[in-house]
Amino acid sequence: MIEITELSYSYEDGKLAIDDVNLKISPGEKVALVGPNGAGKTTLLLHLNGILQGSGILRIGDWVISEKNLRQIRARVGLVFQSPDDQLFSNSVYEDVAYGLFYQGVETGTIRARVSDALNLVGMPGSETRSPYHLSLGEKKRVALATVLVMRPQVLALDEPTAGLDPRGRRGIINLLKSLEQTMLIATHDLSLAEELCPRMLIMDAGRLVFDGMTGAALSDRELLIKNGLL
Amino acid sequence: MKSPVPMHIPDGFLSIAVAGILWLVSLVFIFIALKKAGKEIDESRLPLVGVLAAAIFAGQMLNFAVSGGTSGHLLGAALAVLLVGPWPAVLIMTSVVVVQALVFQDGGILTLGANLFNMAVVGVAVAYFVSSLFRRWFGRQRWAALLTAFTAGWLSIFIASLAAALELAFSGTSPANIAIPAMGGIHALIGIGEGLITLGAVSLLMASKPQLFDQTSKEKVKSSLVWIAGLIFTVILLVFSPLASSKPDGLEWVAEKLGFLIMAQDASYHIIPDYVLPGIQNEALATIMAGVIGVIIVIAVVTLLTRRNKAASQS
Amino acid sequence: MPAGAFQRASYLPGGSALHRCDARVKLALLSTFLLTIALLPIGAWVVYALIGGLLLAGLLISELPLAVLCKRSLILEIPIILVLLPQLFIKNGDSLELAIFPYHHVYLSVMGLERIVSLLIRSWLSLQGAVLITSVTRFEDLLAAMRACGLPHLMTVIFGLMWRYLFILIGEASRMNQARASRSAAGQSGAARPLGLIIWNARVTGGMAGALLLRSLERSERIHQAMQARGYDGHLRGSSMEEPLTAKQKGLTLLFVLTGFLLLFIAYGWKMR
Repeated sequence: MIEITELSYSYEDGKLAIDDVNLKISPGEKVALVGPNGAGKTTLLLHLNGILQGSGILRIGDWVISEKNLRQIRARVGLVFQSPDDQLFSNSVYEDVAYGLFYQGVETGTIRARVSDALNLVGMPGSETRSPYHLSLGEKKRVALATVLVMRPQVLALDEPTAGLDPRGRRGIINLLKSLEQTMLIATHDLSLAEELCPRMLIMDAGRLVFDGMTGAALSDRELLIKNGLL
Repeated sequence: MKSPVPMHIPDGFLSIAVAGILWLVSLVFIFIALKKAGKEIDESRLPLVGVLAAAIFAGQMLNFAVSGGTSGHLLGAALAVLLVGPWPAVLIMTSVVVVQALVFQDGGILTLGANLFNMAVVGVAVAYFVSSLFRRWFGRQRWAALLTAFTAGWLSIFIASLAAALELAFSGTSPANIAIPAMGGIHALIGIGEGLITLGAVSLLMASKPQLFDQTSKEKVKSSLVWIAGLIFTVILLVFSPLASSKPDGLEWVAEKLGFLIMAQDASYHIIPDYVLPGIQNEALATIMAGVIGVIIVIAVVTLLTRRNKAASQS
Repeated sequence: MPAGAFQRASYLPGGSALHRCDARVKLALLSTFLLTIALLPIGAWVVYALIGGLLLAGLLISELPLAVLCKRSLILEIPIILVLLPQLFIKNGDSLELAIFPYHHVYLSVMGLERIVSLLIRSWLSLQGAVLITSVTRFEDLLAAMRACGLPHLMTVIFGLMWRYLFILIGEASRMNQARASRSAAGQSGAARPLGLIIWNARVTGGMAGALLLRSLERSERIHQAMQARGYDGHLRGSSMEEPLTAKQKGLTLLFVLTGFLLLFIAYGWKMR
């Protein structure tokens, strides 16, 4: 489903953010992406829908990401950002969830129905008229997920989905993610989320991929975890 | 939360004619700004403009103590211009002033056109005029950028206040020879605060993200209209105000001819002899005395209100 | 979140008829109200009272507490008050004699007093009208109403974004104020500070403003990425579906406008007696 070949990316000031990353993810796989702050996790995720474009080849399904097919890529890859306040930029839940559909040219009656379905899916039924400002963090995270799910993506890329949540909120998000069938790449510091949800783990450090294997194996290797800033 | 600068004119203080005309003028400028900046904003700067407007509004809450309970605040027109160029700055300040009026009732709704004109048009144009001029004279050194920040901040407030004073005079709400020194005087002081805060902000931004200030050179070509407008506003207001101030009867004559005073329901000031301090014979002397007393009243009330503010801020 | 900011932001939720009324109609009502007041002559005390009554009626319909009208008093800014005071000294017409000092009487103009009081009453009535309407209307609905009345789409979106992040950023600014206050050892005494300290303070405030702006710039970058991730392509799109006004709503507006005319008629008729 996702195939990344020799991807490298540098920031404006020349610093290397991603250094020759290669990986393949099969359809339906749920993969955790872990690593210390500044390892390049968010930067990598931003490549998945073409917001950043480094050197190398990125393939989503049959599509190779290029300037010309960004629209189609972004319909297939749903990116959920770290801070839901950045993702919910409208003044009503409805407008936020419907945003992607406006740009796909979907007709209004259908939009209403799909928004309602997406909100039901994330456990926020009937919240269309609420203002994002008044939602709790957990609710915001759910709605942020809905804004992406409504577009029926094949791939979900999530950046720190449980950051800042209390145990109940966290449990809600984990259960929600468990119930979804999309291919997932989840950047997270939350190792027990990785353990519960993702059979496969990628460890990134200073822009390089230093581990690609079974989550169980990684988590039982204490030295590995400490060496890469995870413990 | 007090309004940042005491320049927002409430409903009732301007005649309908003055308010109406300024509404039209402001709308014209805003539409032009939408056209000129629209495409550029759509493509890459849409969230920037919106969030910056919110940031400037929020920035008006930051204050610094001057003495007792008085504090200085920011308006932000100069800062907006320095960050995103004149046309987007017009839109940013429009958002700020409109939300201030509609949601926080700082400034009236009929007078919103005038307030927009003073702050989103004149304030922005003057700041842009200063920044363009200084860039041409001094180039791109750091000290020049800081001087620009201060001067643009100060002058934008000062000139905008003169515009407000003239509007009050034209409406017959206040004689020019009181309004202009009062508004001008107070804002010459407040403007220093604006200049300093703008300077401080620019200083920090230059240190953290110098690339920010390179972009604005692109706007220069397209924005000559604003540059000229800024120059015109500054010159007119600087020259006109002392004139109007010293010859308010001349101003009234003009205003009367233009019907403003009629719409202001026969305002108070007809000919100078009306507005004379009782007991003083010489008209010219009386006028000057009136002006001086006006300024003294300004200072006295400021001191009084300062003491009351101190009590409030300690509660 | 600073309580003050939200409190002053006017909107008080409720279910009254005034709350449910379409925002476009409320906007029209407010405009009529303000224009009528602005056109009233000086000294039309009866009509001022009638309008006050209208205001009270509106307040009753809105089911909001009376305190709403006290929430925002006519806090006249210093320069504006001062520029009004000279009205007291006009030499036209009758004067009121005030003995301030022995042997020295000051003459205040009756007409001037009348003008000032009229102006203040009218200004206050206008202000409270705006307070009432904005207390029963959400800003988002006001924005939609303005859009329906012709506000350009780009401006609507800018307003919308500003509104969305306004209180988040006000919160940040207020926390910055608090952080600085808890670190500054400067006394709270009323003594004037040395000039150098004031200037330094101003620059520090500027630095805070700069930091606020910097964070906002970075935030706007991320928002832009979020917009792109959902398909934003540089062209604004979005629903602007507004149902057309019903006959009942139009009738209500017309009624209000006619009332305005009636009041003006009464006021000028009275004056010309």
